[in-house]
Amino acid sequence: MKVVACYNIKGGVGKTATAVNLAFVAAREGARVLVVDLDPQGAATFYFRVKPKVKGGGKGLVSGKRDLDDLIKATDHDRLDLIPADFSFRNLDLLLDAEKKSKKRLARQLKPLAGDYDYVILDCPPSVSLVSETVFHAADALVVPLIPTTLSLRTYEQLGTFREEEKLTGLRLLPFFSMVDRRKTMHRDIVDSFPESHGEALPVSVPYSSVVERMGSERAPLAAFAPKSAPAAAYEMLWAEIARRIG
Amino acid sequence: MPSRTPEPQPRAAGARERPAVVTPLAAIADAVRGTLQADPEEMTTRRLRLLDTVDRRLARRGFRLEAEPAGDGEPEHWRLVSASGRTRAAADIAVPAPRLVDDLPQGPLRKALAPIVDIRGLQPSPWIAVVEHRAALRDTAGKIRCRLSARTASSTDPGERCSAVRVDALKGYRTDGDRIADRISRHFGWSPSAPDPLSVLATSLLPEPKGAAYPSVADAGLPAGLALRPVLQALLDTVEHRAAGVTADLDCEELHELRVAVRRSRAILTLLRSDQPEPELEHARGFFAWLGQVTGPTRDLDVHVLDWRAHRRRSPDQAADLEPLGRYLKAERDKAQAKLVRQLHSRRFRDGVRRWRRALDAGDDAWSRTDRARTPIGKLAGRRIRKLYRQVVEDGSAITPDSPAEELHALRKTMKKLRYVFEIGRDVYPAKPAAAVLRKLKELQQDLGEVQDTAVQAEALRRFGEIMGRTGAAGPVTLMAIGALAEDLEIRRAEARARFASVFAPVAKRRFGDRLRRLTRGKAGGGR
Repeated sequence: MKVVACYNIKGGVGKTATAVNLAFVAAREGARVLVVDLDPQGAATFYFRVKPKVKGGGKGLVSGKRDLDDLIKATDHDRLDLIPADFSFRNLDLLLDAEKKSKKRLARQLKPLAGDYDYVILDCPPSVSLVSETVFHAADALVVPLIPTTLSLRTYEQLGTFREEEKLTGLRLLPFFSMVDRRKTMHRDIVDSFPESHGEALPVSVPYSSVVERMGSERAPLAAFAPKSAPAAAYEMLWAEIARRIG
Repeated sequence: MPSRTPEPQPRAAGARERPAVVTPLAAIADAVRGTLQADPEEMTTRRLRLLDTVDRRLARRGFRLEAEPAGDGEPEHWRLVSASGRTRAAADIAVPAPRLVDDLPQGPLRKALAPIVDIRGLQPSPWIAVVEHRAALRDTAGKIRCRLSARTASSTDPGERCSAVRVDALKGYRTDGDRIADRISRHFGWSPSAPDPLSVLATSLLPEPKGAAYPSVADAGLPAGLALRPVLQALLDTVEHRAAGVTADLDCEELHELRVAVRRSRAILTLLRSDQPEPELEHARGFFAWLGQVTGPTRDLDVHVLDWRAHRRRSPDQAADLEPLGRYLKAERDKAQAKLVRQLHSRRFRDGVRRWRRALDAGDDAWSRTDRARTPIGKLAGRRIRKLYRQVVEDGSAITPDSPAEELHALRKTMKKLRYVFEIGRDVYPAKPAAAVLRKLKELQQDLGEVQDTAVQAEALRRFGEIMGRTGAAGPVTLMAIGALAEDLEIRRAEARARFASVFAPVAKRRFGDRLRRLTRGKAGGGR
């Protein structure tokens, strides 16, 4: 079982859309996939039409007293399950802080699910916090959506520095550009030049498109309602490359 | 994802079968949905074959292997499905599809099948048509709470049909699934425990091999003739059934089982042999001796091919070098097989079977003529077992590290006879000690078999190498690989030979002999 976290310090970069669409593509290709919605806003949970409620709330998730399997809900899509978000997840940091060996808590919690799933995809809240550190210890790779702007690149550099400081050398960073508008010179320049200094960059960009916004009204992954759209094709290619890299 | 599979409840005596026609799923969904909304019904049709080994290894482990054609000349889509309905592995397989797992393309499907199927061939069932109607039930937020499906699987050859309505209770929404399944059960008579129609159909289209593999007598006190007759009948059934499998070339196991049935029949005929020759038994003896002889060459080559495949699996780096040997062995085996099929279609085989069947169906008098036939089977078999055991101990004890191979081969033959006669009374002896005796006998027999078979195979390989070299069928690399393979066999032979003393010792022990005597002389074994 491989654990992939969709993460960025910055918000509004397309983490949830990435988590939901990658999970859908992986499941459609035959893998057994579990999405864990760690973001208290519960957008991934909303996209999958599941109620944003978890038995025992955030405490149920981190205490280890409740089997994670009890929290899982099937989505409407074959082989694709979800641990929904709960508004109490806003206090996950505090709850984790109260636990022993809190940074390894999530990895330990996920371990018993290894026989049931091929991939776990974590949809993470933005910011650097104890929750994100827990995610870094549980994940095999961080898929980092970047908007091609200077600020976004800066947060990626901060993430790289953090990884070095925390000696998380086994954690793979897989950045890619999302919400790319090739009509903008800056977007074009950044997308073209970034891989020169970052060999780890995924060679697929997801274009900006209103069809991604429609995920909210359709409450479904892109490939389920707009399979021929450019972003849907991009996510498909993106997953193929991620699956290849994490093996 | 847990699933519940409703089938009709028995409503009255004789009304156990399921409804021939499934009520339209939309009507079922509408009647049971409660506050949920039903999606429009979807229908799919598929045409497929199921694959399994002759001894149904996949079905026994709860698996189903489906092969779905894509079109003329297009690869088939194979899917290994577990008992829970989950696809364990899948692959596209070029047609004509190979029958052995070794010949499937590398990948998850081959990896999943190999430990289960092993060296057995995969046999296809007749064509099956599967019609499935599906509908989802959603809550007010549009979330699917459970799925319904009505599946009918039918085959025209032979005419079989099986249906079931199924409720998939989704993870985290089990209560909804249970509630809907309960309503379907109450309103439409489909209970929640029926197996998948495809699995039901598989049981009738790919049936288990008939009868016990090694029949045993039921009562040690019965006269030997009457007690052994049903055993001989069962063995003749096996010969006939397996002969059909050999002719169709289903799997090399068919020939192996046929030959075991022949050897067991011969062991029983020897047991019944008396001073006054019985013409029918004498004829059967001759028939089985002939059958054992004509089936030998194909079996030997089957073993060579199996060994070649095993070696290829163990040493994939040598696989390419040994390909010409594989081609040669398969060609030789096919020639021997064609000859064997002619023998099994011959008048001699048909008449032999018919005459022996007639003799077995004759009245009880015909099976009670001689003193031996009237002796209780327990006593008769017990005497023979003890005699053979004494011979095994005597011959085995005389074997030293310098003894010639023939002495081990002779011991092996005596061991086989001992085991076969012992197994005739297997069911009347107390189970635990009988199993312990059999285990030790098998261990010794396997070791002797390894000594003999590896020696014969190594010699045959060198012979094949010579022929292939002479005829230009193999280059130097292949000949060297054959030489290495023969050396491997020699090493295995030497290892088995070195093991002999340690596997013979427990059998030769006084305690083992006492146990054998207690079993065969005890009340259950028929007394002295």
